[in-house]
Amino acid sequence: MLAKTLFFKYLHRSHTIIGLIVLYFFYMSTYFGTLTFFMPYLKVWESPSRHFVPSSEYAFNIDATLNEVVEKYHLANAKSIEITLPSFRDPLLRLSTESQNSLFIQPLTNEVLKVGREENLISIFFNELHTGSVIPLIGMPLMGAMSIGILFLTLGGFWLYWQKRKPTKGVKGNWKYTWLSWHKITGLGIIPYALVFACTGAFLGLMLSFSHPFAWSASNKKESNLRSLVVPIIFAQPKYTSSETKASMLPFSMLYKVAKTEYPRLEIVGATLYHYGKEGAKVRFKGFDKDNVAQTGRTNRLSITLDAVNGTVVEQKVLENTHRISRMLSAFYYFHFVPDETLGMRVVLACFGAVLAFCLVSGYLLWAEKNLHQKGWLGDLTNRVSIAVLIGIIPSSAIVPLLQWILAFDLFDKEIWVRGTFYAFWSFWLFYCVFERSIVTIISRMLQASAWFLLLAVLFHGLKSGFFIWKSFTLGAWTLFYMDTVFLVSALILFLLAKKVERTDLFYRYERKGVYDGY
Amino acid sequence: MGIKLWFVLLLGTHLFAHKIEGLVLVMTPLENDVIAIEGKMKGSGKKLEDNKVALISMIDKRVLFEDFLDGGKPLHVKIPQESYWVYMYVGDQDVVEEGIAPKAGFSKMATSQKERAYRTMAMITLGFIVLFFGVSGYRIIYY
Repeated sequence: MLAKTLFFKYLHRSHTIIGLIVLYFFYMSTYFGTLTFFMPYLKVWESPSRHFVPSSEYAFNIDATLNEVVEKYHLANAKSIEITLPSFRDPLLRLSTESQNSLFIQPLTNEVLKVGREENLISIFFNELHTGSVIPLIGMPLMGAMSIGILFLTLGGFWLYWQKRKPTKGVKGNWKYTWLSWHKITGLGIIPYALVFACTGAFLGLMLSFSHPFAWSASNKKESNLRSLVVPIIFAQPKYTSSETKASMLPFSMLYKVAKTEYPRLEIVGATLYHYGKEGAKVRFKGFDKDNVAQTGRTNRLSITLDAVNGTVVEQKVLENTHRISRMLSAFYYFHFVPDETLGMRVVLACFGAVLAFCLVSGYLLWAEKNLHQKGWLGDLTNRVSIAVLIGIIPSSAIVPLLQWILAFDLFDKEIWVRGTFYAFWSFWLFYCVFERSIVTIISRMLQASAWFLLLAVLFHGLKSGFFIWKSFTLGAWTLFYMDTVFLVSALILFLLAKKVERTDLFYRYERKGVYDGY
Repeated sequence: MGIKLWFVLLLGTHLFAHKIEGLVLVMTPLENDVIAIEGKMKGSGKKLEDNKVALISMIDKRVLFEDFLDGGKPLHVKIPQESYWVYMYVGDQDVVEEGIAPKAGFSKMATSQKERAYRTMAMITLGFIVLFFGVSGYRIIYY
């Protein structure tokens, strides 16, 4: 009995301490990870070349263009040409080879676009913040370790809840009681979500970054990247023989149709051309199984290979033939990246992400309650730094979409300006948190600033791209319209929150003692 | 400019999106104001093949020269008379370096902007962090 109580106490204590360490890093990961769920839509919104109204079902026809493009851009010498078909992730059609910059083709006009430096600036930056790789070398393993911390907190927290015999002390209306109950409710609610994402995240963060030494020694100090060693083996490209004799290819749309009729369950996302334009050319259509999306994710694509000259089926890779481990790996990646899911699933996951962020914050507030009644400057300073990290991240990230549209697209070091502004602005809030006396003012200014940045981002997006929110509505460019709406609604919510903060007693409690009143 | 290639799209597979790959653009000055340009993998030193390389003027962003790396052989290019960047295209990304000046110097010079953005923003960020420590230290000690 004693041992059990002691165990409970130790677990409780370590839950607090580990929680406080993990909190800041994992909050960042959760915040940006939640934004990353909307990456496909953000990608469309941030790049001017995607500002057009795609035809229904992202239809395209490159029959006439394909040969011309392959000829003009020296693609024929490449071993294979990868075609990514237009989809909700990217309404442009992409042609890429191993060595050159990808070519983007507008599916409506079949014109090859110059996309320059507009490519995925915000989404890649947010993704790097999510994975922690903005911190060189140690960033990703650090986030991986934090994911393991979250696994401990989730399981340990559940055990604490399960084993708790005594009813929680405290009166209703007491803030500590409120935070504890919210921490419990949200914590229990997101157990499956946290387990899935922290498990896969720990795998991606820790295993992939710690694989360098193994790759280094296995390749006799030639290669430290495990990926470049294993990719040629596990994702081996089929070797098709060809001759130098030129041959005329069947039109791409016809091959596409043949693939569709031969393999109706396959949802085609891309195609690979082997030895295009020569005798023995093959086209492999890849995609996922409509009924088994998780098992046929990016690591385990199903495919059908056709002969490009006469359209006969050369090879077909069906789900039943793939190895069980491949299917498991695919499902594993699917749970972290949700690659082929569209808006509905993403919104649900983002809601869970928001609940997880709130759970982390309520855990901090629970701990901060205790410090409100203790003397000393440490508690106050921790509160202020926490505000700078937990809330200051909102205005700092809201300035990024605004800068994307204010700065010129051909600025060669735009990426560094944008990223630098993010860090500079964030450190400004850190300074402002100790400079300004009133906690309420700090929080409401942060929220107001974020709201203004989002509003201005929508305005400058309209001014520069010409797609104002009403225009995207009338034209039916729904991705742009929804993104603008989301920004505007978020700005409104932030304004209301800023007003509410000023009227809530809660935040004034943190001002009773402060760095201003002396200790 | 840091050459961290995110989403290195090996044949368009975004599989290990959480991964950094390093590539270097090597420029070796030769005689008679000619440079040899080649691309290498940072880790293995393997040479890149068939990538497009372009020399772009720093003054008016004109394309001065454009060609493909041929079978891993270094590309010999005459150094232009104005400040320029060397672009190498890899997958969806490009590697950019400021070009080497000819022996007699450029006839048209643009100020080097290589580290400008990085320096400015790093100074501002550090400034605020120093202010944070200064202000909080002042408050703790003097009250």
